[in-house]
Amino acid sequence: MPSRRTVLTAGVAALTSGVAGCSRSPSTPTAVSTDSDHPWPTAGHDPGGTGHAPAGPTTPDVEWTRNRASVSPPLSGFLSTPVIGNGQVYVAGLIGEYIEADDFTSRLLALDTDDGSTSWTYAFADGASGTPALMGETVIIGDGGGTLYALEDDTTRWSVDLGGTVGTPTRYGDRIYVPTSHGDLYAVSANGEIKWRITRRGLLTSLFGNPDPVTVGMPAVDSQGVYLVAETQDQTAVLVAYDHGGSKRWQYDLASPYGGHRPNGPAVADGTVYATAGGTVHAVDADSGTRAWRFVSGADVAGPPSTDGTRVYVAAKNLYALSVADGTEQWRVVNETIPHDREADTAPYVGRPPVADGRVYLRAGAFDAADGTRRWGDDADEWLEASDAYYLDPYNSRAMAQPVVSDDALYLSHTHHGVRKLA
Amino acid sequence: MTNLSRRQLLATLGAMGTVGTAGCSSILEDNASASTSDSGSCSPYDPAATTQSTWPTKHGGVDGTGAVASDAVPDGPLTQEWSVPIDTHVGHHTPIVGDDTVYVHDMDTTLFAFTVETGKERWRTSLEGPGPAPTLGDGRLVVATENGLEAYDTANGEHAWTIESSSVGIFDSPPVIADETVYIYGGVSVSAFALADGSLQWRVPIGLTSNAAPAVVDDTLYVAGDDTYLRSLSTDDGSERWRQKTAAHIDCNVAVSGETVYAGSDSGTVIACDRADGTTRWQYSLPSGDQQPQTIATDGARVYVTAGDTLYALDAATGLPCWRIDTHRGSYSSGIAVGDSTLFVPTDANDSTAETEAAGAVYDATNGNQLSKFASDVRYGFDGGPSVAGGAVYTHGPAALRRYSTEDTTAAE
Repeated sequence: MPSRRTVLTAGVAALTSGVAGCSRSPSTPTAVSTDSDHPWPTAGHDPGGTGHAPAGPTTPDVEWTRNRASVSPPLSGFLSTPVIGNGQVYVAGLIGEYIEADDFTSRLLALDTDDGSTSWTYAFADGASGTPALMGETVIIGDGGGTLYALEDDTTRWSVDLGGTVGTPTRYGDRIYVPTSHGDLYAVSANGEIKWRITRRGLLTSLFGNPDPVTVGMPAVDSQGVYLVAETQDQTAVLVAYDHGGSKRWQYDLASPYGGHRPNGPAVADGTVYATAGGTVHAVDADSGTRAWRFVSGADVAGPPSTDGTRVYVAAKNLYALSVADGTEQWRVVNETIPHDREADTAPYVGRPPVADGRVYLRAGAFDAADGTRRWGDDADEWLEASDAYYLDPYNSRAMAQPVVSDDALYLSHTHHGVRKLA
Repeated sequence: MTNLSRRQLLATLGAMGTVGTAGCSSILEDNASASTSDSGSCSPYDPAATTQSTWPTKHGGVDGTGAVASDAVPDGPLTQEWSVPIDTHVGHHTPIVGDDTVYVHDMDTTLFAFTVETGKERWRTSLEGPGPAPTLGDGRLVVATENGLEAYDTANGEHAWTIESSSVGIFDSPPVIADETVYIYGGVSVSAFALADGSLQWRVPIGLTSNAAPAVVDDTLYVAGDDTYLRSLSTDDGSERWRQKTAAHIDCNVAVSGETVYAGSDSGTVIACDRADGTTRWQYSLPSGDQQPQTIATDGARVYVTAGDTLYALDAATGLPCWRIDTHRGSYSSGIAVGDSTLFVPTDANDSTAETEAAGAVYDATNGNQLSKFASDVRYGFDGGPSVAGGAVYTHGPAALRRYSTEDTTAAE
């Protein structure tokens, strides 16, 4: 629970007003930058959210599929990105714009990576609201009621109230950084203690009433601090950098000509932050917050970026590979979806593309990272062919099928199929 | 195309009508002097020769320049020779002119062919949900509809073939015909079909859609669209010769004159690229930051760009502004025609920067001085056109197709 002092001092800090965040607790996290215990422990793989794994599968076949309707208990809601560790694949059925907690039973499932059998489940009365993050044996996940949970198997080790719908957490050493729908950013210790928070409530709320929720992406973290993308109330997006004590370092306006909704987690690698808004990719210097380059894809939606240090990979309807040096397009994988086509038999690419061993993974396939040629696999679009009059729009800003990889397998959370392992 | 989307298009068209006449004008400006000239920095006006005497695509010849030969341009004050009622509740595209015939569709159900001399109907045929303006070439008329790409014989309107493709919108990129081949940026790809039987020659996936009319010159096709790139493709196999990145969607048509390709991106930028390798020759940012280029035309001496209420004349060699007109009144389907050192465009009926009604106007291309007007007796002037061909000017809408020519020509007939 936040101390009274924390709340009071935090009240004057506003995310978008340029006022620095509260920073009275200089306790920096232990300098562990990656968690090598698990193949894919958080949505973005590592604290930087680079989606860059040390190794990935070469030519996998489908090993098992857990259909979301036939799995027991059923897996409903928007499927989270899977995370992999402890011999489990963890996936949650999330609430979203079109699915509220009352509409279904929102669950976290732990499936055995060997055969996909259910190891344990956890139900959220207020609906799971973000992709889980692993901290050793513990699963960190938040819900729509504002609670952040630490689960070990199906028991709650601790929980803490954060006040707004909880986003996807990022782990950095012994610290958890997690945003909420109010635009707040929390630093939480491994035992559930709130170290500090940045809030846009407080004084603003008392003056102007409760602000509308803003949408916040998953934080990216490096040794200098935390990087957060938030969609503001006027529907523009900003990238904000804080140090590990919660002081604001800089703010960058993610000016993007198209789209602009549903900001994604940025990625930070080698001193550059890559962020997407609408269909535009921004590369921003992590020290100064100044723009290195900007790539306007022309699409109105983009997913979170990944990077292997040579190229940045972004699914912005099509999959683009951009030079980290200047943002020039190196190659693209064309997605055949025709925008706004109600009879579409394809869906746009918007997921984070994992990269490992010179391969970029997209849905159930892989592409050569250097030239974009398809190595194997497909788009996992087959559900669309069998459906009639499926309305795509609710999914357009979400990944239809989000892969993550371990050294020998690809795990896919597919909005309609369920969870699938290729190995 | 579903009924719903059809209705949405109608609603869009209604909105576009107001956009076309929305002004950002200053009430302090003198209404009588709409043209602003600072041509001291421009090269001498020396237009390129052209033999174009028909108007086969939305933007004139297949080079997309809107340029026609001197003898295709009416000389002197224009009077209406005939009008043919076109009853449509949807809208009017640019008239397509060639083979002594003018072709229009009503954006709804019917494709028409009229004799240029008298406006007498030659034939009509049914269409389902036609999208962009038709395209004329090699004895065929090709039109993109909700059923796909369709070809008709120009002689009698007989249906030749239909290629199923994704449904089209009224503002989608129109097809272009060259060397017995139809090229179209439809859906998220660029394709080439044999004009004879509609067989697919090649297809290049781009990944995003386009509203920008393409241009074709010799063995090269130039395309642009939401993808933000201007691309040069081989007409043989669609292979890419070069691409040039811009910072926004390209909705404006592509125009090619001499060794230069011109395009305008929605960030308010006009670019001129070397036809051979795509190198940028110049780039011009429209002075009003929120203006988006709508139509480009060029006679080789100047590049004419419409954006909002302004028509800019830029030096084709340097991109420097020569003169401009602040009383432009473009609509969703109007364009620019240029020939014999004169420019045909829609302008404000009263030459007022305050928004009133549109009419056709003829300008001196060398300095932007207004020479005469036409369609000034028609409410709201016209939607589609002007198309200039064979010594006459054609406009489409409201509610009629009209031909204008000089009094001398009328007297001679």
